[in-house]
Amino acid sequence: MRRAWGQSLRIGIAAHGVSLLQERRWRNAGLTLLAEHTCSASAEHPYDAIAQALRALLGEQQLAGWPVHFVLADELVRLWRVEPPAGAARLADLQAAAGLRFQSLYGEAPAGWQISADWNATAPFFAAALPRDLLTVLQLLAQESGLHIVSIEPQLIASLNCWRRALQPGAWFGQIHDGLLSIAALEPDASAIRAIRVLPLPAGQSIDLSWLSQTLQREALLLDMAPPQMLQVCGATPTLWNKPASQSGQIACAVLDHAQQAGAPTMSVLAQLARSGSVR
Amino acid sequence: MKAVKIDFATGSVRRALFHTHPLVMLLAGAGVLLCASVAYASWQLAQQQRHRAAELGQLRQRAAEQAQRPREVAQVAIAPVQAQFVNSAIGQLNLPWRDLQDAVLAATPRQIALLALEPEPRKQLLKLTAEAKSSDDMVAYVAQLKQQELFSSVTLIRHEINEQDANRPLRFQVEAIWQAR
Repeated sequence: MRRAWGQSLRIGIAAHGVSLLQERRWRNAGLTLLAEHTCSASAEHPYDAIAQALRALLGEQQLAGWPVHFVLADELVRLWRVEPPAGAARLADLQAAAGLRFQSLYGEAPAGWQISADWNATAPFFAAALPRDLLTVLQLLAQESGLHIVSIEPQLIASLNCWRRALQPGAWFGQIHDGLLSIAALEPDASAIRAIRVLPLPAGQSIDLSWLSQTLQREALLLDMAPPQMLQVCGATPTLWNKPASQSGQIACAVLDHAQQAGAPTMSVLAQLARSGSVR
Repeated sequence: MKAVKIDFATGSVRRALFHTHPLVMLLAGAGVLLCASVAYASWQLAQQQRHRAAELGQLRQRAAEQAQRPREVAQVAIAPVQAQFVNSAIGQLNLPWRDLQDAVLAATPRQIALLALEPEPRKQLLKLTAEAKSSDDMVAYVAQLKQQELFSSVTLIRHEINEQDANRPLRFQVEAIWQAR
């Protein structure tokens, strides 16, 4: 497949499948779903199924030379907050602090995980860990297909970086994907993330603004923060959230990717994963 | 809010270029082109300067060689007659006529009538013809001429009485040799 100027690929990686999107940045800007494959992961070799699905996905296309973004489903990645040690001056100090925090949170040595973080020696920062086996699978398959990896990001981070300029002071950021609501509680001036929470959306119930307000107020209490004035959300947002707040005390909700959702209402969960982090 | 820089992709030039804004790349390209053009112009100027320095060196070397070489004067063939004439003319032009006149007038008293002055520049000789009333005046006049610094020697050549004149003056001729200054 010939590549025009400004075109790239987006590949969504989830435990139950992979999807491939073609992104055009300038001329006829938009996204096109090229292919997607589902798989069922086994407990013993959790990444073999992903590797086979990805190999089959890339084998169908001639993609040598294309730049590719990998978007990782949040269930494949671990995200946590790290307090920098007092007097930390070197990157090695921060890496050690992140590793210790990972071990204390998950009870597992970080040796088998690749850690990437928004390193900061003076303020708390967020780190993410990806299994090295999965990272090796992605790099090897990209190399086999002649792809150039330009990013490998967790879905929530990709979405947050995509919409960060639209975030308003006093608001929190949310992402809905595959029945999960990921919430990034932001500082009051929207300058940094305070905490990340992932909540399952209740199935079979009416998820309206009242439920959202109660959930956000509960999370604010748990985080010892003031409740947000608004939740700015992207993803498969419930239709009831698109209404203005009817009662006092209700937290408003603003859908960031309303135009995108309207343009591609039938996109699958895997395709939506790959699209995360793109404004097209 | 600043971007959260969590990315598991390894760094590469291709990745850095992909994430660079097209405007920045355009500006960088323009900067590279500008630098390249400035470098090319500098190289051309340096070449030109070297070329001119070499030319200047050659010119200096040639000038030094010419300065060391004896100056050639064009040999012009001049006929002897012409040379004699030219030398005579130059001698006439170089005659210290005012000095001679001043010296003679300073030595000539009222008793002496000066008749003729004939200079010969080649010999630096001045012939004076004059008349006096008596031989004493003539001798005094010759002595007076000898006193002049301009003349190195003064010789009375001949003298005679002019019978044709009613007063019968004594006509005499003196040769004075002047000194070149």
